[in-house]
Amino acid sequence: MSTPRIEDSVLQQLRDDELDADEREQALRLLADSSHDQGRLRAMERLGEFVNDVTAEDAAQLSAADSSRMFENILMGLDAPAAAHAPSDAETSVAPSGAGAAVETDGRKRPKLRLIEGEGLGTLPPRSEKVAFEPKLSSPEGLAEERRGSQPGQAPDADGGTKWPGLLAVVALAAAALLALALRPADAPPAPIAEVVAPVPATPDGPVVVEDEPEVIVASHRGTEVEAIDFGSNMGTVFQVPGERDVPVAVVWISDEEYVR
Amino acid sequence: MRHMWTTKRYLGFLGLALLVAPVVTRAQTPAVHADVVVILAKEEPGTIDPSLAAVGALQRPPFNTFRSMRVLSRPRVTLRTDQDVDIALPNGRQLRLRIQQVMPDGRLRVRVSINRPNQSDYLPLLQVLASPGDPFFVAGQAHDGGTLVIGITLGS
Repeated sequence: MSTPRIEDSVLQQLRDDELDADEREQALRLLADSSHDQGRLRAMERLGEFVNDVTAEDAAQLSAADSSRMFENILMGLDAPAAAHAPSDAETSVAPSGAGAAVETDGRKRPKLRLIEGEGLGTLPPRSEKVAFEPKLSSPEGLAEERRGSQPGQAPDADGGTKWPGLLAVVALAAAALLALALRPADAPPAPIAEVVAPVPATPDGPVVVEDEPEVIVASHRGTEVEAIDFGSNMGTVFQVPGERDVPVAVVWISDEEYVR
Repeated sequence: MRHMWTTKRYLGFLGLALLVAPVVTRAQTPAVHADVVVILAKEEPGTIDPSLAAVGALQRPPFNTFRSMRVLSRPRVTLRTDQDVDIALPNGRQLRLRIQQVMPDGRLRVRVSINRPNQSDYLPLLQVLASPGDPFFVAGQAHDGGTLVIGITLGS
């Protein structure tokens, strides 16, 4: 069994008679030594003949008038989306008077270039369909207008110079509001701390009681407590006594040196 | 030129806003009232000021060892955050109060000191966390043959 030694592309070029003399001679030499390559070439020729027969048969069924109508339909299909997207002024302003860009002398419409949305859109400016493809540069008025707009001494657009200070003012107000909120003391009433108490499980023989809401005991921080103290050079102590409603009341008892002396 | 002036104006507005915000915030800090009662307590038999009968802590040890209590003064002051308020005591010392912080749960952190003017001879520092309406006491100073008991109630 011989292994293929001629590449498909070379074999195809050999069949199409596209090789130069040296390459053809070398290919024929290799082909003579390989029965497998000879079989591949014969299969390639049969496939080509089959494709030719099919296309010839289809072409015979299509008249010249049908071909022309089909091509016109294709052109109309290309023009329809362009007409739907492009405003009318594009037609009037872009296509100058007497310009044969839209209509050729033989009456056949030339397909307008359209922007096909895809990955390349990111590199185009907004309204790229006009900017990128309309023959604006061919219009002297358009070119002059563009040059006037790009002169360095000309002011930018109406709000371009005042927009960012306005944003700066908004940022300033937001910063002031955030600062005020952050430093605002908590003037709300003391938030109670809720302690959830699990319901007492029912005895196995007793009825099963399902509590929709667990009992909530609201605890409150009441009383006073000493957090830090410095007695200085005196002796002292800190303790708590029950006050009203038995809330703890902090008491600081400190000796008086003058009294001791 | 106009843009530069506009920019300066807005930058000035920004600076002013940042400067005013803390002031506005401080102005929004609620004032806390402090009720101070200065009591002269003695062990000798006497009378108990009727206004003190409702103060439960004074009925408990060690205060119940005093057999007479007389209210010397009842100053009521308004405290604001980080502002000292001095109250003169009958023994020449000063009671200084300062609200340090209003806790999220509504309790008040207050700093107390009792000293002679420009000295730190007695109680340099006492920091108490107090619930509004609940008192705390500082006792032990000698005065007029008795003992001074100072009760302080915040935010009543």
